[in-house]
Amino acid sequence: MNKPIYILGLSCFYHDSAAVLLRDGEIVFAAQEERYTRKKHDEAFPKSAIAHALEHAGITANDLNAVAFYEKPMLKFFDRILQTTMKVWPRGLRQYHLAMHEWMPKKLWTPQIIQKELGYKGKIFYPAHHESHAASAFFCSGFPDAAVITADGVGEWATTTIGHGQGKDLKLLKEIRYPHSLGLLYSAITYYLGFKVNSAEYKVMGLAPYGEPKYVEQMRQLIDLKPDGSFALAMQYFTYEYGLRMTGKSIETLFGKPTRDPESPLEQFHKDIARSLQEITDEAMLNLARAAKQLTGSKYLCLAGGVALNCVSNGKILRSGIFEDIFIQPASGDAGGALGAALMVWHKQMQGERLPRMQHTYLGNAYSQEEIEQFLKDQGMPYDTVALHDLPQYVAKLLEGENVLGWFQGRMEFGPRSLGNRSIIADARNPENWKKVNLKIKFRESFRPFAPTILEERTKEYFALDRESPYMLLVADTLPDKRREIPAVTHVDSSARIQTINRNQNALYYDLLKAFEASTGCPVIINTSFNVRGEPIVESPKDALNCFLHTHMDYLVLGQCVIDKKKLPPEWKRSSEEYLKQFALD
Amino acid sequence: MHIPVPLRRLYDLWMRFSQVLGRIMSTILLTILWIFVFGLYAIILKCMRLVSRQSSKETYWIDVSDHSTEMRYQF
Amino acid sequence: MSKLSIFSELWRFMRIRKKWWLLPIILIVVLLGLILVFAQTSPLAPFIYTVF
Repeated sequence: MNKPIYILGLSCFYHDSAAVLLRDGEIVFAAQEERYTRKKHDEAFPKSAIAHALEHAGITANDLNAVAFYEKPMLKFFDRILQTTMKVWPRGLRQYHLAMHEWMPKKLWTPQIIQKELGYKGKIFYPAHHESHAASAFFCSGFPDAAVITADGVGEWATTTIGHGQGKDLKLLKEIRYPHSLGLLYSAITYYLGFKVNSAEYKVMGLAPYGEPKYVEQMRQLIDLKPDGSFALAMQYFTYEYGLRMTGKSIETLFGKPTRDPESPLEQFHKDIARSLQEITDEAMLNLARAAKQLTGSKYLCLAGGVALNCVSNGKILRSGIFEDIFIQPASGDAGGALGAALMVWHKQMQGERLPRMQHTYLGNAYSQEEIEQFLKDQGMPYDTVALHDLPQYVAKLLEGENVLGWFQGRMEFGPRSLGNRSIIADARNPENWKKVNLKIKFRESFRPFAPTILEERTKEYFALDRESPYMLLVADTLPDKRREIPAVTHVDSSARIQTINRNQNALYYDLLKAFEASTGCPVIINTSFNVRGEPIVESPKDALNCFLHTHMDYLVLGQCVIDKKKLPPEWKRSSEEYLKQFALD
Repeated sequence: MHIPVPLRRLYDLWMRFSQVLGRIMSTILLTILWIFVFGLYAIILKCMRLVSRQSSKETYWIDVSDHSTEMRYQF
Repeated sequence: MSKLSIFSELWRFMRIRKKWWLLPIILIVVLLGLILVFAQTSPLAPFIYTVF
């Protein structure tokens, strides 16, 4: 019997560190470091994630056949960063100092750090940043032949690429280079709108439906979109090449309003800007899709990179019909780079066989019923235990009663979305739930919408979506006759960021929805990530309990244990303010 | 490095001084590097850019289909 | 892996990527980096700085 081949994929030192472990090409473990350190977007070397990965597989670093790092640090630094420093000289002294401070002691020594932290002496591979993104999409898609589009802030030089995946091979064909970048454009406007860069771009996407596309023509002054998919930014409006901010006075002059102060009230102007930005992004992505089709002739499309998290654009690409089917990597950001890097080594370096499409992202740690009960007993926390086969009906009844539940089951999801294992769930039919969950549980901005999970077989009844969407990466409209039925997950423009679920993907979650449907007739519930604003999604029962106690959630379902907030003795009362203080606003 | 107990306090102070000095010195040295070496490169590059003409672009795409996909190195 | 392996990687970077014009500045940056990093952890630091 052949010894299994283990590949460890890593990403770190920029944002969203992660570790991914492959065994014979199959993902056995994947997790983001932030979930363990409780520091959102943690970019530190992913020691915890690696330790959990190795433990899960029952191996040590000596059993690894290869380590794959998600980008090429030397190329990034000695080529792009040094050249950009020269290009913007005599501006950019502060940025230069910050960069040197990061690179000289740390980032230049990536191989040494990996060897030391892992105790590993074997080969380390360095696919390019966008190759890692492309691989994370193509090799998980199950497609034998597909066009691949990646778009993000910036890798080494490339910001946007079109590639072609065929069997075990993946080649990038064309690229657009820094400083011209869709991701940086989106981040720049995110900054202009007073939100946090590299963190809150998806909020801008959620804000867009409240606005009108009044500023599209001005946006065209920021970016020249060519019909062949390529584009260039008018750099006079952006300061990120040399400054610590993304934009300055010139963009304020263009739009006629100053940069919004963070946390200040949002005005119609901001919503219109967000909407206009989304229109431009949609156009850019559609141009890219057409170009990719032209270059590869392929029937299928794969998407990855931070911009692929823009599910509004994704939905438009799908509906355009340019491609028969598209696959978007659920962990599209840099955490997914760790996955893609490992896959590049497996398929391209080792000629490993292709695997079928990724069925789910439940790739982190699970906690057994014994561990959960032991933890609760140690805390002195009163709870009820429900038999596993009664759990769906029991919880469905709680949902019906207009309660908001913390739902903690199985293995943690990999990627930014919670998909039923670390989720906060509630009844989508109750319009009050929108406000309640936003303000009293997640403590976040009130404009932000919630996403539905729906039984896959009934998707077409409720949404203008004709296929599965298991990763919440597609936005489609709620059908007109159903909008009043599920107000809590229908956004102001009737759109919804949908998660479809079938029993193969997540049996328990599916059964829960089925039980809810059986008693209410409605196959849809709210599914939002189990965390408060600024907090990474909960990983362990301890995180879950903490979050539950410090918010206004009604019930916590940890495995088969159910905790009722009302039944807790008064010494368990906690203050939300104290809890929230530890998390920087995101 | 083994420091005998009576000298330990002195050692800590010395290292702390060394670190502060280190931060100041590295900022100074890096700035000098930036002014002279980066400056030199920057000026030469700017002169070269003045000489060469930028043609108007039909496309912003850069063809990379013939680029190597070697993964063994950090570049 | 010692820190000095960076030089052999740099040499390979030059040969394969053919960016010879960057060699002087890269060498200076790396040397400075090594000095600063070494100095950070060594009690000899203040003496090194006096050399400058």
